[in-house]
This record gives sequence, structure tokens and C-alpha cells, in this order.
Amino acid sequence: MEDLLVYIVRGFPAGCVYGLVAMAIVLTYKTSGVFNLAFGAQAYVAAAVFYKLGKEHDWPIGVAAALAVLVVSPLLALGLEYFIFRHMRTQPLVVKLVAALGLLTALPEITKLWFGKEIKNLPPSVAPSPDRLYKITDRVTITQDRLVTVIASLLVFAALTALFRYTVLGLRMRAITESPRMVELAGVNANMVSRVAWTLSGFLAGLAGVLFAHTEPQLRPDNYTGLLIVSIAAAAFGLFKSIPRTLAGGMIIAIVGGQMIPGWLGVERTITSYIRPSFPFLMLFAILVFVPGIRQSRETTDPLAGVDPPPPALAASYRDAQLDRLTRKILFPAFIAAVLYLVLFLLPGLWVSRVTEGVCLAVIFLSITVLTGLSGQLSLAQSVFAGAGAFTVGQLSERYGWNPLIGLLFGALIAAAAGALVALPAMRLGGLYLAVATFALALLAQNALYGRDWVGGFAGQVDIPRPKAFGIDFGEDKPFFVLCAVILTLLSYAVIFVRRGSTGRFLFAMRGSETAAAASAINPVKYKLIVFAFSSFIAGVGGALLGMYQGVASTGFEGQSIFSPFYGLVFVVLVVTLGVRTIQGAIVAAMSFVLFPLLLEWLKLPIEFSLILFGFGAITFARHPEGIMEANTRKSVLRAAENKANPRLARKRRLIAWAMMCAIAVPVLVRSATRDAGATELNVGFTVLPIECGTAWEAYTDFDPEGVDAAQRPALHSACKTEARKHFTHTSGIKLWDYGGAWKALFLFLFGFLRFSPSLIDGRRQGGRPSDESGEQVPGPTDREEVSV
Amino acid sequence: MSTGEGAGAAGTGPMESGAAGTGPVDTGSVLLHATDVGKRFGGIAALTDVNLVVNTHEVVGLVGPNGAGKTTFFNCLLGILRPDSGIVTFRGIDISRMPTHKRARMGIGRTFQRLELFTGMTVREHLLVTERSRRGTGSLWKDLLNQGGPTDDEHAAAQETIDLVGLGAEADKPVESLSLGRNRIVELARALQLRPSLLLLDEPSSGLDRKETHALVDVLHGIQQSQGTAVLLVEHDLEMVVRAVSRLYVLDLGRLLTSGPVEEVMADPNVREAYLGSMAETLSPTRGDS
Ligand SMILES: Nc1ncnc2c1ncn2[C@@H]1O[C@H](COP(=O)(O)OP(=O)(O)OP(=O)(O)O)[C@@H](O)[C@H]1O
Ligand SMILES: [Mg+2]
Repeated sequence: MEDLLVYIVRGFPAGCVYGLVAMAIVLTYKTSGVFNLAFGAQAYVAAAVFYKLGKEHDWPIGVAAALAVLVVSPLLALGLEYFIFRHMRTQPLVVKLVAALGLLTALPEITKLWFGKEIKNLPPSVAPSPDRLYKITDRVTITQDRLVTVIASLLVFAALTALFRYTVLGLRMRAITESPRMVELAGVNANMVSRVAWTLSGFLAGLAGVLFAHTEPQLRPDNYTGLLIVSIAAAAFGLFKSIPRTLAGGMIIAIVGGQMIPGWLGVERTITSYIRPSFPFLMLFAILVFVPGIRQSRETTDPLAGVDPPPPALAASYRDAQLDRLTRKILFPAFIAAVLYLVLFLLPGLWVSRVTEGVCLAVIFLSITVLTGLSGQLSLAQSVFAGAGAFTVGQLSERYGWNPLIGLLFGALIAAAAGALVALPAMRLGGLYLAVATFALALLAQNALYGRDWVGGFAGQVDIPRPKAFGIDFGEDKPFFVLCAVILTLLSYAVIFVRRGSTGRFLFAMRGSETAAAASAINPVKYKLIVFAFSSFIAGVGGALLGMYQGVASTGFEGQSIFSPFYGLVFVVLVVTLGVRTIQGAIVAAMSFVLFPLLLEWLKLPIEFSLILFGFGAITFARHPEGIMEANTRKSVLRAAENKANPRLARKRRLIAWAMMCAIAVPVLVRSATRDAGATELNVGFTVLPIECGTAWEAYTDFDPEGVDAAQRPALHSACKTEARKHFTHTSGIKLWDYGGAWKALFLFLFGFLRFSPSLIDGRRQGGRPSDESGEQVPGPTDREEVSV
Repeated sequence: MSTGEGAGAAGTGPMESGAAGTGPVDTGSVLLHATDVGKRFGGIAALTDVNLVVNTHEVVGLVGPNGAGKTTFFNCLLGILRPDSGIVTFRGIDISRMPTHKRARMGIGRTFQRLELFTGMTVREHLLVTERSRRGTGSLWKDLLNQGGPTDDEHAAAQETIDLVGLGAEADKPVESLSLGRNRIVELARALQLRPSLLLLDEPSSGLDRKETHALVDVLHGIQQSQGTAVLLVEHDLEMVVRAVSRLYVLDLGRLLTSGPVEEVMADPNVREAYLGSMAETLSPTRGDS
């Protein structure tokens, strides 16, 4: 009996915090239809303000907390509502979801700009002497910090209950959460209600953020992402509508999952260390999959809940036939040849390395093109499927000495099996719930599997060798680049073929109407399984390649690993923003992910800007649901049609285009011409990373390079490079910009991609022959496109 | 994937032969037999013990006031909804537990009251997709080898259906750009592409003007004559019903009121009270909301 009391007292404070965030989620979801995943980030922002003022600037703790909770956080929420989400009200759920995901990635990075990147230890507490103990019974005690958490939360819950019960505004909000449509019909100003709800939610999230800060040893954004998902589990327990049940859900997670189950199992046991953090994700997944009420309540009450119509045909398929032949037969091969030449022969070795990373990522991104682009489903677990591929290769070659190429195939198959397993229960879910469920699974995998030595290795990382096959040593950068490029090409064509073939056409039909597809003898279950498995297979290949490129796959201590669920979010945001239906969307997304930090470095801007820009890019998604690349193509096709009809306009446009090209190209050429001489010489003999390589070299040779046998040198040399690469992949302190070739390369690359790629690779009509009618029937929201970009 | 595969390419004579090859047709001429079908939605009894028979080559009508449960019945026949009770047999085979796509492949085609089209596809693509799924010859492996595109056979089969229903002029337009009336024809064409031995039509004439309705009836007659397709027709336009069907079922509040030859049923006083009376105003030709 007393045990139970202990569990309750220990779990209660955490339950309160989960309840606060969960309430914020439910409030905004019900009043404005936005499932705001950014609350995790908003709570983090509040905590950061609190930390900065309270700990670093020594403000009185109460003032710091009040400012963070009562001012900053509500204003932030209101700002998001006013500037972003208000404009998305009529957009499909998925658009809002991606925008929120973008914010979830961007907000913490913005925060870092003023908050600092360094590790923030020992966050303060709102309580004056947080660690003081109060006795409840002889054995049961509670710290002051927790007591304050409980009291503050209970006060807020009481105040909110009163608000909902006794005020008109509260009544309206409650009514909206019950039936949004009825309230609109009754003439309540939903705008106003929604704004109040957002402000209130901001306050709740901020309070949760500040109260949560002290419970973790460090203040880190990923803790708050975890908090967010746990709170979603609580909200799911309330079926995303009942606030009392939501609070109960929070308590169950904190008390049952956080205290009781570990208590029964034994706190010290290994199994507990896996189950305890996994509990909320398991619960979330189970609720989403097994409670039918969640899906149905939405479908029958929400006027916006219908199936999103599938997008129009790819714009490139409406292209002028002559232009089509030109791009396909001449421009595209020329562009590829130019890129290969630059990367393989002209540029310093580092560029090979960087572009290779981009190619590996592009393979992973291609998996999103398959899943989201073909079937319209959103999975946030792609980085974990990639991880499955990477860890498998590493384990197979480390433990059993398999050839990494065979390991790669095997890893991809394991990823595919995992994908199919996810698809089975997730089959009935769609849109939002599928996205959340996959994210829960991703976190589950990270918590329950990554730590196992047969998955993530003993020290949280697995070494991954590069293959030797067909008499080629892919340990060298250039052969490896070629290998990756070949695999990317093969998979791209596979995706194009699948899209054009039965599978792609069936999936497209299912997007239009699943019922009608089934009534037309298409088996929806089978094709959902296929698309999930195929997509995860590709992610597995990409992950294995990326692991080989890095030489190591790490499980991500502190959330840094590319295979952690956080990157699953980033990937989706990035690919969806740039264009999820085309191959070039995936490739450009990958290249920007890799090259953008270099550009920032060159511009002497903080590296955080890249995630910030990608995050905010997601917001443009609302304007171009087909992705920026596709929007550009559409525009160019439209313009081509206009040009044909109106030669004078065409001439004017051509003039402007040339002027702009010259304005950019001339300075570049001048600068590179004047600096080329020295630069090319430096290129010669440049291998890899002088500094790290040197250190590794010394370590390998016992600091006596001279004592090494000349015959062993090549082997040692490549071992050093492998070692050095591990250190290098995520630090880029090397000066790439001193080389003339780099200049040219960058501009050719960016220009080539931006100018030509939108229409380069894919775009034939689904299943049909290419349309020979010139742009006359370009579909889509054409007038809107003209305003933007 | 064994059913319906034997159906050859274009021009194998009556479509019956293609689809009927696999199942026994030993129940005489009974094609579809629904026994005691019941379905509840929470408190609403949408269907209660509905019995219905459709014979081969026959055009049967199913009428009833709004909310009578006609669409629900169709959904139960095709397995889009699971009925709470009752058995459905098709060509003598119990299909009550079969998933929708298998029933479709056995030869039941349907259209929808609210359009359910593959948005974003052209008319031809609709038919090509359906032809492929009917044949069941698609596979991921073929796709990966770039063998997944439409074959010449399939193009010919689609063209045949296009000519049959007279969609030639719109064949390569996206369905979003067509009128509601034409889209109803697209749905019909898609259902026909399955080479069904039974067509379930859910208010095909709603949204069509009088001329289009007449044309539709002609198309139906043509199909029924040339291919022997049986039709179960749900329709509010009694004029069309009378022109098209030989037997009629009347459904009200989920129960069968009467059934029998058209003239008999129309003369039934119960039917007049429950249904025809309320239909007087909706019989006017301007009806075309949906
Ligand atoms: N998915 C559903 N959930 C709850 N009730 C439903 C559902 N589908 C139908 N109903 C109810 O079942 C009853 C029968 O509906 P149904 O659509 O089958 O009627 P109908 O005869 O097709 O009418 P109409 O002539 O308007 O098309 C109606 O009362 C309807 O409200
Ligand atoms: Mg109906």
C-alpha cells in the first residue's frame, strides 16, 4: 500500500507536466485544427528564456519564470497562430502537420542563436530551494521542486476548469472541442476563440517547459521533443478531445509507466531500462492502432477530415514535346557529365566526399519520394529504417566478416521487413495518425533497440567498412562515390519504373478513392504493404551507404546521430518542402542538406541557419503543396506556353534572364580566373584532411612514421583515412573556398540544379505516353503560383 | 489471383464467358442471392433482413425514399461494409467473407452515388488501371524491370470500353475537367472495364439531364443485349426505372416493402404511400443536385 503511495508521489509531478502539454495540444487541435507538434519546441524556448535570465543573468528566479511563462511563451504561440497557422486553416491536415514539423526543427535552432550552443548544465528550478525534502509519511518524501510543480499544475487545472465551466469564452472553447462545425454554424467567431486558445496553449506549454527544466540534468531540445511525444500519448488517451481523460493519460504514463512497472520489474534490471522510456511510445502506438474511436470520431465530426485530393499530374508531363526531347536527350546527360567531371577530376577531394554524402542521403530521401510521393502517407521513421540498414551492415561485417555489399542487401531487406511490420498495424491509420504512430515507433526503436549491443554496438557505435568487390577497393573516395552514384541511379530508375507501372498507378488510384480502387479489384492492403516495404528497403540501402561513407554508424549519444528519430522529422520536412513527387526533389533536398552548411560557412553565417531555413521552408509548403521544385517546373512550363503565344513577352523575358545570368556569372568567372593559378596547384596531390589524418597516422604508427615498412604504407594510409573520416564527417573546419575550381563548381552546381533539374529527370505522365500537346492544359492553381517565388 | 485471369484480350465475345469461366454456374440462372442481410449503425437499423435475387442477364431496380438503405445495401454486397448478419452468394459461391477487391474480380462492378474517381487521372488511365487490376498481372518485379506500363492489349481493351460508352472525345482529359454527367459515364466505363457479370449502379442518372439519361439507358440496354450483363439499378428517376428494368424491389427504412414485376409494384398501394407519393415532386426533370 505504501509502495503505491511512493509510486504516486514520485510519478505525479511528471504526470502534471505531461498533462499541461497534452492540454495545449488538444486545445489547439480542436479549436484550429492544427496538430501542433511545435509545442515541444515552444516549451524548450520558454525553458531557455528561463535558464538564460534566471541562471546566466541572475535575475530573480520568479521574475525569470514569470517572463518566460506569462509573456514570451504566449506571445510566441500567438505569433505562430497569427503569422503562420491562421493562413493554413483551409489546408489539408498534412500541410499543417509539415509546417508544425518545420517549426519543431527550426525553433530550437533559432533559440541556439541567442542562447548559445554549449551544453547547458543543471537547469534552475522555480522553487527557491528545490532539493529540500518534505515528508508525507515516514518513507514517502517529495522535493520542493516537485511540490511546486504539482501545486502550480493543480492551480492551473483548477483555473482552467473554472474557465471552461463558468465563462462564456470557456463555454465556446468547450463547444468547439465537442463539435467545431456546430459552433461555426452558431455564429461564434472562431478566429477569436482560436487566438485565445493558442495563447492559452502557449502559456501551458511554457509552464510545462519551465517546470520540466529542472528534472533533467541538461537543458536540451531533444528532451523536449521526447516530452512532446509523451504528451501526445496522453492526449491520445483522451482521444484528442476529453481534457480530464487527457490528464488521466498523463498520470498513467508517469505513474504506471514511469514508476509502477519499473518497480515491479526491479529498477536495476536491464529490461527496465528499456521498458521505462519505451512505455509512452508503446502506449501511444497501441491507442492509435487499437482504439477505433480515435479515427472514427475525427471522420464523422470534422468537416475538414475528408480525403485530401491527390495532386495533379506532374507539370513536366505537360511540357512541349520538343523541349522534352531537348532536356531528356541533351541537357540532362550534359548536366550529369559536367557534375561527374567536376567532382571526379576538377575539385579537391573534399568535394568528392561531400557530394558522396549527398548521394547517400539522396538514396534515403528517395524512400520518402516513394512513400509520401506515391501513396501520400507520411512516415517519420525513415531515419530509423536507414539506421536498420546501417547497423546491419556494420554488425554483419564486424561479427561475421561478410562482404559489406552483401551486408547492404541484407540490411535493406531487414529494413524492408521492418517497414512491412510497421505497415501492418498502421494500415488503417492515415495522415496525421500514421505520422504520429511512425514517430512513436521510431522513438521506441531508439529507446528499446539502439542501446542493444547487437544493434548499436557496444560503445553506441558500429564500425562499417567499405566494400572491396569486383577487384575495386571502394575504400578510396572516388570509387566509392561512383558506387553510390550508380546505386542512386539504379534506384531512381526503379522508382520511376514503379511509379509508371502497376504499383504506382494503383497507389495513385487509391489516393483518389480507396473505396473505388477496391471496387476496381485493386487490393489496397497489399499495395500499402508493398509501398512501405519498398520505401524502407530504399531507406535501408541509403542508410547502409551513409554508414559506409562515415565509416561508422552511431546510435547518437545526445541525439546527434543521423539515424535518430529527430532526423526522420528533418528529412520529411526537407523532402516534402522541395518536392516529394519527383526524383530531383529528393536529390536537391539531399544536396542542399549537405552543401548548404558549406555555403553558410562561406558567408560566415552560423551553421544553425541551415535547419532554420529548412524548417521555415516547410511553411512555404502551404503555398506549394507540390513542393518548391515542382512549383518551379509548373511555372516554367506555364511560361513556355505564354512565350509561345506572345513573342514580345518572350523576348523581354529572355533579355532579363540573360542579364541576370551575366550579373552573377561575370564576377564569378573574373574572381576564379584571377585566383585559379595557385589554386590548381594546391589541388594536386591533395588527399584527405591533413590535420585529422596526420593525428591518426601518428597514432597508428606509434608516433614513429619512419619505422613503418614501406610495403605496409598504403594499407596504413587507407586505415588512417578511414579513421580520419570518422572525425571529419560532422566537422567542417576545412577551407574549401580557397580553390578556384570550387567557385566554379558551386555555381555550376547550384545553377545547373536550379535552372535545369526541375525538368530533368522524371515527369512522364502516370502510365501514359508523354503528352504531345504543348502547355495548353497545365493543371493546378496557376494564378497562385504567379504571386510567389 | 486465380479468378478472372483467363479473360483474354479484346474481342473474346460476350464478357460473360471471360468472367464466368472460373465459378460454377449451377444455381440455374440465379446470379446474386442476398439472404437476410442486416446492418446497424449504432442505433439506426439501416438494413433489416433484406432478401434479394438477381438473375443472369436481368435488369432489376431497387428503389426507396432517401435514407432507405440502398447505398448501404450496395456496400454490403461488395464488402465495403461488413453486414451484421446475412449471406451473399454470387454465382453460387458464398462471398460474405471475401474482401472487396476479390468480389470485384469475380465480376461485380459498381458505380457510386457520390463520385469516387481516381482524381488526377485521365479517363483512359482509369480504364487502363482497372484493366490491369482485373487481369491481376501486375507485380512489383515487373514494374522494377520497366515492364509495368500498359500493354497494347490493355490499350485495346480500354479503347473498346471508351467506344462502347461514347467517351472518345474526352478520353485523354483528366476527369476533374469533365462535367458531372460525363463523370458518371466514366464511373460506368470503369465498372464495365471489369467485364462484370453484375453491375451495381447507384443513382447513375442523378446530375444528368433528360437527354443524357436517355443516352445512358440506351448504353445500358446495349451492354445488356450484347454482353448479357445483369444490372441492379438504384434510381430515383422513376421514368428511367420504368424504361430500364423488368423487376423492382422497394426498400423503406431498411426493410423490403415489396418486390415483383414493375407494373405490379407500381400499382401497390403500400408503395404509393411510402414512396411514390413523396416522389411526386422529385420526378420533375430539373432534379439534379447531388
Ligand atoms: N457510415 C454510416 N454511419 C452511420 N450511419 C450511416 C452510415 N451510412 C449510412 N448511414 C445511415 O443509414 C441509413 C441508410 O443510408 P443509405 O445511404 O444507405 O440510404 P440511401 O437509401 O442510399 O439514401 P439516398 O437515397 O439518400 O442515397 C441512413 O439513415 C443513413 O443516415
Ligand atoms: Mg444512396
